[in-house]
Amino acid sequence: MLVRARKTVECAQEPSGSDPARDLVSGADAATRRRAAQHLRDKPEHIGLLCERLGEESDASVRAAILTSLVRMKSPAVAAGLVGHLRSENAALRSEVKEALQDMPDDVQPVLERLLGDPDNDVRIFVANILSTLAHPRAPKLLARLIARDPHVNVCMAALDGLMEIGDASMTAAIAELPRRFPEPFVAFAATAALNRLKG
Amino acid sequence: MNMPQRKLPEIAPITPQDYEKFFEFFYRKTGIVFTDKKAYFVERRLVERIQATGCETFREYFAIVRFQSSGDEWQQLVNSMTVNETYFFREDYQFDAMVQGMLPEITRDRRKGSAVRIWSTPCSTGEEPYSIAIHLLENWKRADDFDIEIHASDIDTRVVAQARRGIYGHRSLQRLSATLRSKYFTALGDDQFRIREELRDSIDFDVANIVDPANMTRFRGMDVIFCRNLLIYFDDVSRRESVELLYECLNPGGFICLGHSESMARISSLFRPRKFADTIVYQKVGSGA
Ligand SMILES: C[S@@+](CC[C@H](N)C(=O)[O-])C[C@H]1O[C@@H](n2cnc3c(N)ncnc32)[C@H](O)[C@@H]1O
Repeated sequence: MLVRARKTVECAQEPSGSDPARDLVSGADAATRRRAAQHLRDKPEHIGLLCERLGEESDASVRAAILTSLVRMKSPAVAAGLVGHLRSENAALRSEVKEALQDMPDDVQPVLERLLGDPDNDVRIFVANILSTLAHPRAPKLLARLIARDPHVNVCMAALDGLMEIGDASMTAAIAELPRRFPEPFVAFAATAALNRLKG
Repeated sequence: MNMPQRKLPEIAPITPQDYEKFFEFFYRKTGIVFTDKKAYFVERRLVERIQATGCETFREYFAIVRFQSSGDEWQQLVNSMTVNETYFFREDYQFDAMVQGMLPEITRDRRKGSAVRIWSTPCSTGEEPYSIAIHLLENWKRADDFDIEIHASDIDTRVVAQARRGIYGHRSLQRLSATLRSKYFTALGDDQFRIREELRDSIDFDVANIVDPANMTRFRGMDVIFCRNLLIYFDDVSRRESVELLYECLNPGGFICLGHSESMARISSLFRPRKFADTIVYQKVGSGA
């Protein structure tokens, strides 16, 4: 039976005096913390806090709200605050952060460029993954640089994956070198496939 | 009688910087991104509004839009910029999915007589919420077991007023069978049909901006939300922000249906894709509360 909706007047208005920064940290339930994150979306002074909570927050829906607010305020500071989480043990968080970074190509590109020399292989693999789908004109060049110089085979393979999609014929020399640097058979196989594709 | 033509004031040219400011402001407030393809459309509407308010420059007009305390001109501007195209039974395979899949699941453990809440946002001129109502009455066997509330809202005050009136022309009714037409409409002549009063009275129409958190708090406890053919006008961030706000409006386990060219990529932590009757809809997961 269709009934006329009783207007929900229980307007979930903010209780006056509520402080989103505090609620984000110590709100008892996920809904409160999500709302706090949404309220901070135009408060650049809280970028540091939002980035920090991301690493502490166990509820995925709150993390999603935090990331949306950070993407809304995208800036070099946000990008720098986010990349730290690429080192997290939490795989879900790492991939959420990766997606968010892809939404701020201009801000994240210089940060990624610095991370090409990071001592942690896993971080460089993430950097290669992000570059592979980053809408930034320098992304192919940076991937080519990884392929030419990175000492770790998995990093080079991740970069090669990316170049398969966004590389061009000018990068074939570095790719052709790969099998000489890494004797593993799959490297030769992957390099040949990439070369065929880029030359084709 | 011939009305005397009001002479429209000459206005100073709108500069690219003006447009940029305007686009940014409009986007911030509505989520809508204008692409270059829309430039002509936007320019024409904007000039019309500037002239209608008797302003001579964009700056003068823009100040009214931003600072007028009633917000009336802002509303007029929004009304003139929105694309309101819609018709009865558009993408109706989703209504099948609602009746065959979503509602049975939602109501499985619900007591008879309890509420089921469905929300059409944006509803434009009302065809979508009325189609939902008709489809439920025609096809959901358990429709009488529950108090079905249909909410409908749009940012555009003009279309909401039209939706409340419920008068439609032939074009918007094309997909409706003659049977349904005679059952749910009264012919007004002139190729105009009015939806029956019982239906008009049963739907709660409202004005609400989907990217405005304060507007969205009015809608809570929804079971199914139809949010179709709006997110295509947004960019990724606005899309995500609005979907996150819709998440707050849903009951745990509730569903969102998007238009066929829209998808929920990247919000996977909040929603799980579900397939019903050959269409993908998105179910709220997680703590919900
Ligand atoms: C193309 S219609 C879609 C109507 C219907 N859902 C359908 O699929 O046929 C898009 C509607 O979105 C409304 N709209 C645009 N921006 C909005 C916003 N920020 N909040 C709510 N409605 C909005 C417009 O006024 C317009 O009526």
